Amino acid sequence: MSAQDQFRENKSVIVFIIFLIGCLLVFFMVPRITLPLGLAYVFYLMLRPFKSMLVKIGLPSTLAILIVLAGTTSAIVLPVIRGVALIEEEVVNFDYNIPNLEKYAKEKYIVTRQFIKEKIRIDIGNDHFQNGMNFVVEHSKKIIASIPQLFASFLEWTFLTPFFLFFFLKDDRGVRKISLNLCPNFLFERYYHLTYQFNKKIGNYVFAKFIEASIIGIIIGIGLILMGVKFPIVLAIVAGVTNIIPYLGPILGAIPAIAVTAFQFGDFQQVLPVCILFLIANTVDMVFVFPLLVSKIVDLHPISVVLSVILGSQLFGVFGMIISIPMAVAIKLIFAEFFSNGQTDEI
Amino acid sequence: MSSFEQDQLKKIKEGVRSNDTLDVGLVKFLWQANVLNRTSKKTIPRFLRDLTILEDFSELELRNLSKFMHVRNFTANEIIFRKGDIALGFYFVFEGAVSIFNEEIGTKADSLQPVLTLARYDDFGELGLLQKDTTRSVSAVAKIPTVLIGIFQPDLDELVEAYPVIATKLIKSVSTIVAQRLFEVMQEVKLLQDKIRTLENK
Repeated sequence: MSAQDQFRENKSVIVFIIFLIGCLLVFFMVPRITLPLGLAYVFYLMLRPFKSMLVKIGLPSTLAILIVLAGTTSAIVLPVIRGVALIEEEVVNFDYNIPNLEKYAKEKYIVTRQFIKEKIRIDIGNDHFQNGMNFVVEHSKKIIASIPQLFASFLEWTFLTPFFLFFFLKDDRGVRKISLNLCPNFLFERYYHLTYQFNKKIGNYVFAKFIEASIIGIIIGIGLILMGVKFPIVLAIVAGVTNIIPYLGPILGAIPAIAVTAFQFGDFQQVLPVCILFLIANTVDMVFVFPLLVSKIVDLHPISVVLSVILGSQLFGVFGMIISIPMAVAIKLIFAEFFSNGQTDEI
Repeated sequence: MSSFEQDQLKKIKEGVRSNDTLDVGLVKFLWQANVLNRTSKKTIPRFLRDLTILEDFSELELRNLSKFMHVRNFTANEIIFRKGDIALGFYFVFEGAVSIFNEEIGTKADSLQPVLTLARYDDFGELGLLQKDTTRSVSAVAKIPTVLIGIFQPDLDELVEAYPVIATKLIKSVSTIVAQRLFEVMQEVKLLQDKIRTLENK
């Protein structure tokens, strides 16, 4: 290879590395673009099979994409609009309900303190209760105050995400070809193989998680409706969505349902059926859904899963916990790609 | 017997509305494929038209197939793939020449003798398209500045989803190449066996 050709190859490598680093920088430093883009990518992975089905039955590609987008937007926006009305009502009542909740919690605490004093002869004092209540009230007010900002971000995503999603569905090959055309020749096949495997695994993982969340949500929704608990649909959606977070998800999903039940019925005995319902839903998930759908796709050691979740939460909080498993899958793919030996083919 | 044009004129005069919809994709293709349209002779569909292994494909099928192909440019003596690399794709030589070596290629490919030299319209790496998780058993180097057109396993998977008929035809064509090569190898083995028998008898 001549010096000029060598220089050209080096230049293409540098441009490609700059492109990759640029993408990573945008990913970490510009969340206003990254989050709707990431969300659009997740939806693209979930909706791509539906678009293919519509195109196969003879619909033009653009019309198929518009139908898929319209269906998805309705399915997401309509419950949110309903949810906004409910949340608005609850926010208005929040200031009024806080002293009542505090009074209720104080009464229960006094009964519990008395019980412990009689049985174990230890007086736990009022400090823990006071500190706990101050913590809860302070953070609840912070969350309420941040709701307008969250809704502003949500509105921005509502416009940006379908916009990005339309172009992902319309021209996914074109988007991919941008990075493939920049890739140097000596890396091309390996890079294409990696990105293809990554997309395939992440697509299957997202789809499996979607099915898992839907099953959990349906079981819990039906159970809460039968028990007469308030906001069963919203609680079922929360339980389904939080189930995406490994290990902690089921617990996080149960907390709002338990809290709503306790405050609705004013009796912790009513909480027990709700706990049993969540236990049944998660047992079904662990015994049937997870082994059949998710674990085969993920193919990670349980220790790797735990470490990834902890690292993800350390770096990016709840969002990090959600993306920790796909990222661990990607890293495993990269290592497997560079250290694997396949069987030899004959030209 | 009236012509199609006469029938259409008659319908227009009578005010009969046609339920036929305009196929915009077909109109675009016909516009681009007409002889009066000045297109470069070096476009991928024109190149694919000249390949014998794709002679069963229609113009529209070749045009759709070309959307799934990648153009890669290689400088003189640039390594296309090494022996032992993961095999992912199948290449056609669009321009230039490719040398095939039986050994692992280091930095000095000049000192090695190629087992085969491929020119325009030749193809190589077909098993990389058909077999998963395989590696190359030979090395390929661009002898002169070369342009290759490649199709890879991910493209084939997408082609199966989007255009199953085209994908089937492509797999059939590539399988024909593999079958032909196997036949040639069997012929050579038979020849060598005969030679060995002759030598043993002597």
